[in-house]
Amino acid sequence: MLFWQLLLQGLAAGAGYALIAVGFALIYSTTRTFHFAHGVTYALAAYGYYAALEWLHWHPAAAIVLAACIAVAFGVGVDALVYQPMRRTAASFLTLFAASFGVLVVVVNCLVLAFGNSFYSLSGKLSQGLEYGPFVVSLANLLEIGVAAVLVPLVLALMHRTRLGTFFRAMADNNELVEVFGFTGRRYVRLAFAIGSLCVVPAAVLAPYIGGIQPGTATVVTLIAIAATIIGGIDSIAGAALGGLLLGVAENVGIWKLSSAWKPAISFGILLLFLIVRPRGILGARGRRA
Amino acid sequence: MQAKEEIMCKRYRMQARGWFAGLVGGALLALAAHGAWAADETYNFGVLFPLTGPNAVYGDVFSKGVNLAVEMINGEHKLSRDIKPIYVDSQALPQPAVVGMNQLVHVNAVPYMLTAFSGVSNAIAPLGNRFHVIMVNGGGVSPELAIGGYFLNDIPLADQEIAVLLPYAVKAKKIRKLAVVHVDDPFGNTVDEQIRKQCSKLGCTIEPDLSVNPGNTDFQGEVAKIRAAGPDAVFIASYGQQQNVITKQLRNGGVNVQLLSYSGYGVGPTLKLPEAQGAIFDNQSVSFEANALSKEFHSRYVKQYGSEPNFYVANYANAVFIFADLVGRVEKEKAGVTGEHLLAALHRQKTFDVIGGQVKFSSRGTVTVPMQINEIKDGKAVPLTVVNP
Repeated sequence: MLFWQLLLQGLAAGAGYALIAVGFALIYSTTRTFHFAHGVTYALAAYGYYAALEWLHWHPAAAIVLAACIAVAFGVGVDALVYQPMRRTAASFLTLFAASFGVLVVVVNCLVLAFGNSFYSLSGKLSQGLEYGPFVVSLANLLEIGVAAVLVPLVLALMHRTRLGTFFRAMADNNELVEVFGFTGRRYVRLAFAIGSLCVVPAAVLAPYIGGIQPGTATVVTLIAIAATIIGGIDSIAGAALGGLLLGVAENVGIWKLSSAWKPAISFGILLLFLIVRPRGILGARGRRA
Repeated sequence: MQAKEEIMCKRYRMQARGWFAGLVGGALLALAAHGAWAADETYNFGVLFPLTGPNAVYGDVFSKGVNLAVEMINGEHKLSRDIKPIYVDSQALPQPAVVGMNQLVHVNAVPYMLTAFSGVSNAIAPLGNRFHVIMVNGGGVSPELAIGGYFLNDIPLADQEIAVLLPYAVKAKKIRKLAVVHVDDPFGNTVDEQIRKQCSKLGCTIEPDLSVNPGNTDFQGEVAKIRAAGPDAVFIASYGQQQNVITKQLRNGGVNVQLLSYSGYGVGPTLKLPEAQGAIFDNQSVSFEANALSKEFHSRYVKQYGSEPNFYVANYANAVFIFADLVGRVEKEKAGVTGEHLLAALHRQKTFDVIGGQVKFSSRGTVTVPMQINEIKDGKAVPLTVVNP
């Protein structure tokens, strides 16, 4: 029975990872920016939601809207203020990566200054465990699974069944050619950052009800998003979602017989295994043209 | 002509450098003299507490005891100079604590200092012993802190706490199977070891015995394991905000059995946690009616801070009272206030009249005091019984 309980928890954790990884993969596959600061978007949205709810006593719906605004503003802002000026000077992939890493470090330190290193968590109906026979699962966990089940297909539909998705895929394939045809790539890059940043909001809003938040969460989330994207196939959004789900399940089921201190080792062990055995990831081959 | 100008320029430059060096040297001398003069004005002692970070909540509580004790001692004017605490932030982490300890030892040259947290205290103890600085711990409870030498504890250590709590809990709550969640650090591991020892004596089994990383916030896996094992009670050996997160997740995950913990559980935010209500923990018993000093400290504390002092407050205030007592003895002997002289005076005296009664240090730098078992009710620690070890 413990195995099934851990599997259920793994699905919930994996759903959260999938939401974060999908946003990261969308930004990477369309803009070729290794957005290392993606975890900061998550942390800022989570802190924004917490502050609006606990300190400003806003209605949860208003707090969610604020978290979404913060996430989009940060994603688009980093692109406009950091990446775009660097792209204009034909900065290399590595330079953009270093700049993104710098943004992560600076914002995490700002969060420490503003909120301290403490954990922040929320109690309420969402965090309370609900008993279903021998299983206990919180409403926050169920919501995370539900939101991922809706949002991931929505993002995939956006990519494959809309005109915007066609532009995104065209940009991913050959950005210069898109501009030769007279389309302004910059506008679509901004949109990719906005949608990618928006994807982390559900997981960020539910985080204080599940495990709590602290500034260091930003780095952990970034690493998980990168690992999930590589495992799923670096260019594949569906692959990133699968990668996130796989990591969540493996981390939780893995502690069935191991100590929870092994969780990070399990995740990065799987990443290492994929890099050696199947470097293009689960859906990497198909995802290249996705 | 050009050569002459160059020589003149060089001379001016050298003169300017000389003036600059003189000014810098003068400024440094003035600073050093001021430092020495300032150091002579008061008897300084170091305070290495977490003032920022997730454990700052403890530093805040401890500091209240230190500050009030300093105020009371300086108000009496029994010493030839005032005493003054020099606060340094340890963040409750060994690395920043060692940096802070180096500052206290080499820059502030304190002969006596207060420390908190097991990891921090373990990390700084070699420095204090090497440079002859008395270190008094009133908060960390790892049994590894029975170091001796210049290291003293005026708080009973976890082996003493567990030796009192577990026999009580096993009998009163009929515990046959105990789950343990302990933080994976020197403190958590030694507490876990003590629980194992006590449990084997008392005939209870431990299942599951789980260690968690100090920075971890998600314990859903641990909760599932505990729930599946079905223990009669869960012992939480963590600290700071993490113990609150563990408690919340245990209750949210459907683990509704008795919670047990050590003295670190009795802090404000944990006591007020709805999920922590009913938990049992122990700490040293401090009677604020024991003597005149205890009564005065209690009334002034309540007046100043508007809350009741706890045993941490008493321990750190006591460490300051002991410092003043030792300084007074060394002054009478007309010896310098150094770590060596203070320790020699402490070895001669051994017993001190402090808040809660008398305290006596063993050769391992530990104390034996009455212990109090508490239950958390309505956001407060309600004493259940007092045990004399």
